Amino acid sequence: MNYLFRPVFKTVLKRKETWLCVGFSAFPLLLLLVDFFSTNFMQLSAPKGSLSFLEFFGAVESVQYQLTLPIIAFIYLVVTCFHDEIKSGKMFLFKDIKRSKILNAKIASVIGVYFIYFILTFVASLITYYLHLIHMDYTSGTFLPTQLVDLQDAIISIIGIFAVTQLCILISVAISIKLSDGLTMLIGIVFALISFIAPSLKGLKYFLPNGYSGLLVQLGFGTSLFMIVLLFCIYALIIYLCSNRAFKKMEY
Amino acid sequence: MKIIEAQNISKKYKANSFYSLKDINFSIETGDIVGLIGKNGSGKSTLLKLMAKAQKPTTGTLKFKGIDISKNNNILDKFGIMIEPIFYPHLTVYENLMFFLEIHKKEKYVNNIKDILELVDLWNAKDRKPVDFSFGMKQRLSLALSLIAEPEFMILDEPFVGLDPLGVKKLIEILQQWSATKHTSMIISSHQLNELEDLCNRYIFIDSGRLKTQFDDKKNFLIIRLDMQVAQAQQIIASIATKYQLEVNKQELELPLTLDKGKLNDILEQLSSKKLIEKIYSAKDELESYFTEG
Repeated sequence: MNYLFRPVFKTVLKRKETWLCVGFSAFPLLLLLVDFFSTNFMQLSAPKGSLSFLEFFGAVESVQYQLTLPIIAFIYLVVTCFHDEIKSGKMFLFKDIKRSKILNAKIASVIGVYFIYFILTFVASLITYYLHLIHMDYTSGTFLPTQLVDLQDAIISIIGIFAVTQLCILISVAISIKLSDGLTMLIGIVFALISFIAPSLKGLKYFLPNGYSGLLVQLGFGTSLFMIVLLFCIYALIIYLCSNRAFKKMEY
Repeated sequence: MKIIEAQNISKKYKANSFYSLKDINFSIETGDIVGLIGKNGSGKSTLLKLMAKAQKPTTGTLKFKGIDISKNNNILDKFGIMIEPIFYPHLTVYENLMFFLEIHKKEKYVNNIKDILELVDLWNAKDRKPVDFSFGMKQRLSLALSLIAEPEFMILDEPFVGLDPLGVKKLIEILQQWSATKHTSMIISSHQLNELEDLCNRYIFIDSGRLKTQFDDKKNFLIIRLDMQVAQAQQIIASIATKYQLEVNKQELELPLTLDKGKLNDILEQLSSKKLIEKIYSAKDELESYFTEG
């Protein structure tokens, strides 16, 4: 394991921007709060006894992604860890440690924060589901959906969003090494917006990992999962190689 | 022994049509404290950034102890770098130093933290975050970071800028103390000539990206510029130099300040009787002349 990861991750964890990102993982807990008010905001609806935990978690992931705010927070974290540090001369701290090691440690740290966010979202969803939603008539009270096709749909949806969010983070990293904070935010958000609408577009849905939740019936579970993993690996590798090249050539 | 050797270093930025540095050659010996002087935009910071590998030279090589620094990673392991105040404002002073030691696998120097922080007067602020520090405190934290792993060579870019007279005095004392105890070589760029005079034993003067001159410190000398057009000037000067064991550098005669009254009067009498004296000045005047005359 890259020895730089531990110290770099510790510094990233101490950033306010990190806690802003992680704070969005409390999003499902809002359902607990809104029930205290008589409002239609964030009201869930589903056929009676149909909503399992995993489907609820899939829906939370999807809403969080479409909310855009968490992804903006992650792009902001990337900007502070990359472009801001390059611009402000913090890179002098690293002297001439191999550039790819520094890059890997930084990327792994930001992705690490995303994993924390993902796990905490999972935990917050568990709390919300089993403490609160379980009392609603539209939940089934089971962890997994009873129908196989619903289980497959939930898995493809969760993995698709998980993959596309990480691609968005990686793209922001690549841009942030060379371009300004504003441009990184803009391009990152444009990518996120394209990825929202991609699953609804005929030609584009095959090109992004989150497009395959709509293709499950057509392609089947195995092919859809394979395509998500394949696309993610190809895109992630290409973006990483571009980032690595730019980071090696970077002057500050 | 040469610790640093710059050979034909040039740097041209893509956006510029001109060279920011052109054909720079110099070397730094072990124990040298070299003052890098020059006007704003002369290329001082660019040169230091090339030495810190933050930028790559367009042509030429920079060597540390005979090894080309561009050839491998971790060549700068023994370097202390203070270019811009570099630290994480969201970490405490102590955490910043620990982070630096961890990323460079230098945890063996963890026991230095207290001594270094006491040296730079920040021990009492070790648990504070530098975000609300004064400029002087930020400079001293950057200095602590550059000193913590006991470097063999230090790069300091304008370390006195923004410091009040007390801060400057403190910084000079720290660097003098460090140099005396650890024999660390340094290159220091600065506009503050008085401060450089107290520290440096050599100077490199850069103007418009070109190395104009490099010379040893002469703060313990009085320099007499001579009129060499006068008849028999060469013989008279050679005779004085031999008799009193003085250095003659082109048309300049260097008189040590320790010269006794009798010898000093004798030398000046011989020179003045032939109207050979063109100008008398101190090393400080000479340093300043590089800025005023270019």
